[in-house]
Amino acid sequence: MNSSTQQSATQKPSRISVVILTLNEEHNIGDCIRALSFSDDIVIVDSFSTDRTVEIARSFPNVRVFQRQFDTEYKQRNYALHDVEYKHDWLYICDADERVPEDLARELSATASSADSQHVAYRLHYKNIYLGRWIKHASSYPVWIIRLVQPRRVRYEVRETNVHPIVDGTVGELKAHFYHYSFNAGLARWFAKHNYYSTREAIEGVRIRAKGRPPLRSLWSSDPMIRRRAMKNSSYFLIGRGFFRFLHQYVVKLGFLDGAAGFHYCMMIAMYEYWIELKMNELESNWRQATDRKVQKLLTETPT
Amino acid sequence: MTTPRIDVMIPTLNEADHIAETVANALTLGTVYVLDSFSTDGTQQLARDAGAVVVERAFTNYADQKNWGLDNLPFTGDWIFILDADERITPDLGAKIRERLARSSRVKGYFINRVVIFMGKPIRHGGLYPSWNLRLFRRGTARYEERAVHEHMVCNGATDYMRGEMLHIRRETLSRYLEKHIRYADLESDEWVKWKLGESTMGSPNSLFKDALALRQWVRRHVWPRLPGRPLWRFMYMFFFRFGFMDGLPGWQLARLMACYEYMIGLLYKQKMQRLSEEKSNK
Repeated sequence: MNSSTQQSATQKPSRISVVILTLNEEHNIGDCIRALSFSDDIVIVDSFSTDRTVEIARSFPNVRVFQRQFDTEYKQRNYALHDVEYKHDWLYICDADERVPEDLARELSATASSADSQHVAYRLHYKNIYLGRWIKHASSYPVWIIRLVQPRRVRYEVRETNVHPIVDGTVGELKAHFYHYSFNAGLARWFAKHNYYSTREAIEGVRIRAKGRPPLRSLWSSDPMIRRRAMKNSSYFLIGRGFFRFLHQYVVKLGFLDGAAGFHYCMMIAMYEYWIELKMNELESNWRQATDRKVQKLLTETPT
Repeated sequence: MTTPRIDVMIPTLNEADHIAETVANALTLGTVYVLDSFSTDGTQQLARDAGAVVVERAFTNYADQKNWGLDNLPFTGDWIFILDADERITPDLGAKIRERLARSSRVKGYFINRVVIFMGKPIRHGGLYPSWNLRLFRRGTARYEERAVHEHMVCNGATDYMRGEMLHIRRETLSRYLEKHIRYADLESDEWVKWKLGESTMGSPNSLFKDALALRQWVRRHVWPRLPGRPLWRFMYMFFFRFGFMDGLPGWQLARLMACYEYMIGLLYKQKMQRLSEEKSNK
């Protein structure tokens, strides 16, 4: 399935360290590490997995494993950036369900070795794979993501989930892609993860709704990062998130061109958005209290 | 006329949020036995403090766990009532049970009606109500059919329907609720794979149509999994055909959540079948 990610370890190790954050990734971690053989310094920051993740990771000579109790995503990521000593100045940030193909490995090595780079971080594109195919449109390709960094010049923003790095300096661009197999560990795992993410997003959304709508002009900001965040914050005021997200991914972004895989991907994302909206409603209208009151009433009614 | 004695069995796993209230509620009916699957949230102690007899056993599956309880708990009563931790017996139902069991009858098992309380409202439409479950029976007359999830109870003898209703409280967070849906969908899709491969312990085709329940199960197993657009049908069925809209906002949300559940089963089933065929072609 992941034949494109097989890596030959012929060239000498590049001057690049890699970090992977894990929790129960036994299905992914082996293939992920094998594709990273260009680095002689791979660090796993594990949130105390209860499966074979750590055991598998330790079986590679170029891997070091650290464990830290997971609290929030940004703290875990900032720990990985700032509290781990890396061998090299450049750090590639990888997830267990991602695979680095050979062309990206070459580009990363070349970028890290060129001494005259004025950038402190690099961003790149990725390809989402579902049901054996690249769901190009449904997953809004191309999306930039910062993955190659000088760890001391970058930190993650304080946010519930879906955190972005804040870079102290300029950001360069890479041409090659990585592959993202979000469904490798099984769909039940994907649902469970998005159940968690939607809870965090709902908490974030309720906080943002309490502050009122973001200023309209931020929607037209020249900085795409600010623009994206402003759109995201405005979206918490929307009714029918799931429906609009589906329209956006499937119709506007042409997700229908990706066949059945594209349709299901769009539906799953819509379902995730629906969960966020419903969880915001749950928090704001306090379902639990309402239910307890009703039950109390029904249990004290005298028999008829 | 003697008053028949009732034993209540409550199977649990991490029900600290409910159990003290459930046990207190069940004690109005009879002796309470909590069959716990080694909870890690202190359910056992809370149950004991509330006045229940607690027995622990590692969880296997829902049917097996409850059947084990029926065979091994030190029951002494004439009747057994099986109550889940998120259910409550209303004073009305309790009174009707006592009245009914006091009369002599050849009935061995009673179906109990159950109403869901969700988002602060009783849900009385959408096909969720009435919901009849065989929960009260003469000791030794009923068992669960072996199945991983959505197990059914089979009673050896005459059955009848009890008036009054119990409450099914949906008060866990939506996150917990979805967690359950995801787990059930995973198990349910395993069942679908088994039906597809013909490995299920199913009655012979001749016995299928003997009663309505068997027919419904046959449709569930052999027709429903092959129907395209199931999530949409599930929603339409609940919200329109079964008048879910009469329950207002909670009815709308429940119908959508059930459509999500249906969708997850379908996607999981598809992935599992695909993996099986990949494994086969790799051999």
